[in-house]
Amino acid sequence: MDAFDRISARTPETTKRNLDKNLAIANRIIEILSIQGKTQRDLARALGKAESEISKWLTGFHNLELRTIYKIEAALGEDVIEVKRSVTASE
Amino acid sequence: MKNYITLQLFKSFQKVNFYTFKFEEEEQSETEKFFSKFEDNESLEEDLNNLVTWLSLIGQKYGAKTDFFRHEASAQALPPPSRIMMREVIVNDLRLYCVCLSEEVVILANGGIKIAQKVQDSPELLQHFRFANAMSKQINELIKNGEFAFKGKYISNLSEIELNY
Repeated sequence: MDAFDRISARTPETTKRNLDKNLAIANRIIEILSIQGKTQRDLARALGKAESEISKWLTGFHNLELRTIYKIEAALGEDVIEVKRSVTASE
Repeated sequence: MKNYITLQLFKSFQKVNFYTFKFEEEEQSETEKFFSKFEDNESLEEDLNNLVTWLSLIGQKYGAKTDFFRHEASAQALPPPSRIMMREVIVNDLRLYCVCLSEEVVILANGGIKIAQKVQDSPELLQHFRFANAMSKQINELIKNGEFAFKGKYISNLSEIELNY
């Protein structure tokens, strides 16, 4: 086991979940941009942000606020995240 | 004196193979040196945990999309412009340099802590920055000359590749 594996083994589950969700969100935004033929610069312009800020968001290390995600959804006209609906007895 | 460098597989995941650079006369690869050096540094524990998790997730689930990586502004300014540019993974002040060949093949280098606004003012980091830049340029040249090939997750002629620094 090398240093990489030892660090991986000691990493808390919450850290892994956090980064997984962050990357899933970044990945979804990257996919939407690609489908729409848009670039990080286009998104930056639409949101009135610097391109470097968008670049930081899309690495997956940045914890985006929900409010920011909603702004991105509005700018792209697509849902970035979905919340599972609870299953009730009638369903 | 020229130092000879070989490439070797560092970690293999479902979607990405991470390779690394190794100086011929040294025991550890550049990326092993990076993780070993900071492994027990308490102040960097969270950043390192994040970095290792991030690399594993990219490798396992998402692929090495260029948008996930940053590029150091200074790298863009260095002539000649490389088709395959050196990129960096930034976790707060921690930097790990790499050369992304595709979404499936990434060569990790070394890195360190950025102690000043510009990489030029972080002497130890600058050394790793220059190395990764030099490697990305040499790899670009080899690709151009047909002496470096990769397919899927694999560098096809791994044992034949000669780099120097």
